[in-house]
Amino acid sequence: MNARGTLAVVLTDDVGSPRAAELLRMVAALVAADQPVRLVCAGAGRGAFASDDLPEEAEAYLDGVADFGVVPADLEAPALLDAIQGARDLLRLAPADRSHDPALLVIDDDWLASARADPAAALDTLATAGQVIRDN
Amino acid sequence: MNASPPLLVLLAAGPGDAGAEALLVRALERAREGRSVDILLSHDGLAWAGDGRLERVRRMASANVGVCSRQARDAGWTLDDAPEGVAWSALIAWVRQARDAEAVWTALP
Repeated sequence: MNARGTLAVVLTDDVGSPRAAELLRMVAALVAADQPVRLVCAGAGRGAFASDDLPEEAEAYLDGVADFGVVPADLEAPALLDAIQGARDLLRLAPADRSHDPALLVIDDDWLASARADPAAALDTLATAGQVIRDN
Repeated sequence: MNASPPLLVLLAAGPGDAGAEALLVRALERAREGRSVDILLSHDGLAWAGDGRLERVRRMASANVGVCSRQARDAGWTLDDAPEGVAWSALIAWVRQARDAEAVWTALP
């Protein structure tokens, strides 16, 4: 049983893109499959879903998951690290023009421990990495 | 029969994405260790079917890697012909496994 759940992290304000729709679709699928999931926004993604100009598809997914109590919440970097610590899986939406450095960021307990020394820098790394996975 | 929890991988980033490539390599390592790996192709990830590498991965890892993308197969393995994402029903069926999975890894473009 996946009690720790999935943390969907939005780190860009570009939430009108097909990439963002893919993330929201995955969030909706997790909710529909009765899997625990949180949707959070941090860094450049803070407030991203507050826009009145979201694409219809994004609005539909957000409305759908809101019925199950999943609503986007803004987090500061330290709180984001806490949320990552408590999650089994990560689903991350980063800027399309990110540097992809590192190509793959594997978040384990050691990385989290070092990240707490400089949460802002950790947030930058989360946003620039090509892909991110949680390794419990 | 492998009873260990599966590793689920959603590949929505395509070949050429170094992070997705690295993620796939790690998934292959898990498969070689005996872990069941179930890969779902979606969006740009459908191109993995087009270049044949995923099929080679599947063969290398014997029966431990499954690739779920009927749409990709039906599309003739080309991204241009394929739909943007997998059908909702296929996504739900795949996600339902998450409850008992070891982990879910996701690569978005």
